[in-house]
Amino acid sequence: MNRPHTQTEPPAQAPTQEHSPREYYERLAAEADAHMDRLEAKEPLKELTLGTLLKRRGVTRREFLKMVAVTTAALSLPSIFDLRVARAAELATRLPVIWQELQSCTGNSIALLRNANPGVDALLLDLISLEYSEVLMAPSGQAAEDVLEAAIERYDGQYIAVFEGSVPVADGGNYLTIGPAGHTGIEIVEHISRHAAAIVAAGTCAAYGGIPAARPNPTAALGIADFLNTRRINTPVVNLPACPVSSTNIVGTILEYAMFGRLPQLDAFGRPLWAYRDRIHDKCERRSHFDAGQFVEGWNDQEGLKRGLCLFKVGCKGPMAYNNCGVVRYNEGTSWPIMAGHGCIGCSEPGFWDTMTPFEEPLPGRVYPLPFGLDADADTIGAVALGAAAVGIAAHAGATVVKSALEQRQAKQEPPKKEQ
Amino acid sequence: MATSTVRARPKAVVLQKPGRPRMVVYVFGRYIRIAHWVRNGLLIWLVLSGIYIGNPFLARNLASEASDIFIMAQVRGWHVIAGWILLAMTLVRIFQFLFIRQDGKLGLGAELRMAPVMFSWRAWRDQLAFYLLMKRDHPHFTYSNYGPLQYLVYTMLYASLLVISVTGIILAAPYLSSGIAVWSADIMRPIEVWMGGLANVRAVHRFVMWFFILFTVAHIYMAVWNSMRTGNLLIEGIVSGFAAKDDDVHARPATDDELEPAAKTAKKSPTSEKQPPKAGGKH
Repeated sequence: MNRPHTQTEPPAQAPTQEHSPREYYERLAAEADAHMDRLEAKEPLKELTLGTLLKRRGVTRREFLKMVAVTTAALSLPSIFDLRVARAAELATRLPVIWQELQSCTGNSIALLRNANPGVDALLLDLISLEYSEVLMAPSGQAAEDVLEAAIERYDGQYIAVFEGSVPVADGGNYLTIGPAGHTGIEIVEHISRHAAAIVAAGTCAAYGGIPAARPNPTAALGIADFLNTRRINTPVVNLPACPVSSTNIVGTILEYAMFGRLPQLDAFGRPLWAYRDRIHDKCERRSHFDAGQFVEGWNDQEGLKRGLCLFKVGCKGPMAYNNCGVVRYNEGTSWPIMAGHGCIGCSEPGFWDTMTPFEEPLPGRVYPLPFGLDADADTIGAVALGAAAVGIAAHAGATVVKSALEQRQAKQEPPKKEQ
Repeated sequence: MATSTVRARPKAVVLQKPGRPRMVVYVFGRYIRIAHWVRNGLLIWLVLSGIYIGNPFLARNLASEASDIFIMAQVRGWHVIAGWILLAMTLVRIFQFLFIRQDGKLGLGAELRMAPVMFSWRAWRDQLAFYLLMKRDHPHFTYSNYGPLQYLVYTMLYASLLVISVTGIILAAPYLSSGIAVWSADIMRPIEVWMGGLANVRAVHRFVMWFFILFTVAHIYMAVWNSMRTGNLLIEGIVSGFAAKDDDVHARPATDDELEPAAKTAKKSPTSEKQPPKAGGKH
């Protein structure tokens, strides 16, 4: 279904797991330092510095360091990396980024920007050299196009392209056109991707097609990696699925790129292992109730809901979904769906929507498309087949009884033949 | 389910009905019979526990703390253990199918050599005619212990056992930190990716479960029907090991030899010479 076309391997000099943990992280730190020294030697692309930005936003040093510590922990790095992550945030002004909206609801940008607090994570959006972003930029029309073209030309092969939304390929891509020249999504993604150093597919739509790609997928929407596969473009892609992707995962990925100059290790679906190694189920605060067989029985089960029992029977897809929501949570670590009392809907999985619906029933309730509008779930299909088998058996057994009776009568009528 | 091991066991004559004796031979070896019933038990448990895992139906126990009870964990655990036992038995069976010759030695499997029955138009016609009551005789294949329908369905059964084991391992691995399930799931990651994530793996697991339920119902009916229609004692055979000989399908008056087996040592009955006892289950 979704074949991630990039499996980034660490460079040759990078430490491997064969080293002792201490040695491993020391080598990793040395690698980060070396890369950040190189980055620091470059001219900053913005006059803005981290210090002035923090002051202007009224973010205290303490708040900033808290965000740095959270990001470091989310990246599965030990605390010796705290200061390096802070330095990466400082150096992010040297990292050109192009943020391109495609067939999307801009929910991922909004999730990043509309935080209740000043939004330490959102700082990063100010800090990175965001060359082009439809949601944030002041110019529009031809002026915006010019900015994009200038950025692609100036930072050819150096910038990170963040895509949000899927690429519709049906009807020559005409389902999505952007800008005064009416460029299709296909043209835009091809153009930006060819000149990018790396691509971040933010959100499930960009990663796997998401909701636009749900059956029957009228626009033939594709995720970025799938689309680039069809066009034989080999720019590495990091998938950051989720609807919306948590700001920690976006910020972590960008900071990690600033720190090491390479993409993280990815899982089989192109997601960074540091964020998507474990399932929702594995990091769930209600997990003990799952193992104990204590489930919320339905939405009117007040006792179960109040006691915070497992939401599996009301459709939690946590056992099928990989993400770190339970650890980093949303809105500055305030809450996340299962904490709020609704099961996981598995939004960070490929084929999300088709494979995870119905959201409020366990997975056997999934309805499959059948011909003649006879859509049914697996158990209905099985039960109908079983019923058909029962009818067939009854008919066959009846026919056998009749046939045997006929045979016996025949045998009685002509006994002399047999004795001969 | 036939064995390829030929066991020299005494033949016996049983009286099914007065005056309707049957020559019986030893067709199901001890391992085959035990494995059949163990598999049966495992499948029943796996289906029941699997339905619980898919949508837990047992009443919850709220009197105890979650830290004290492990209902789902235990059902899951025993489901996985039963699955591993079933997989082990399946692999033994597939090895036997592929590599054990008629004489019990290693080589190209005897049952694999019977595959042509599946591609014989005549075999299909004879067997379907028998099942559709158009022919009274059970078709007899000299080169195969199985009819074409049987061969196809049993091949599908073992293929499905492999599919449900593979999907089961992929589903079980995320619950574990190390061990055989984890590294075999790592090897089978491309399968998981091809299927499109754990949700689809689970769906496949569920559909294959329904195949087993359907197979069981059809299998029981066909075996009972066959046993009654031809009197080949198959149902008894999977318990005792002895079933009626195949060329002996129709009732006929007993010969003196058959009614007095002691006399056989001196003079063999013509029936038993015609067809030497051959391993194989037939229904």
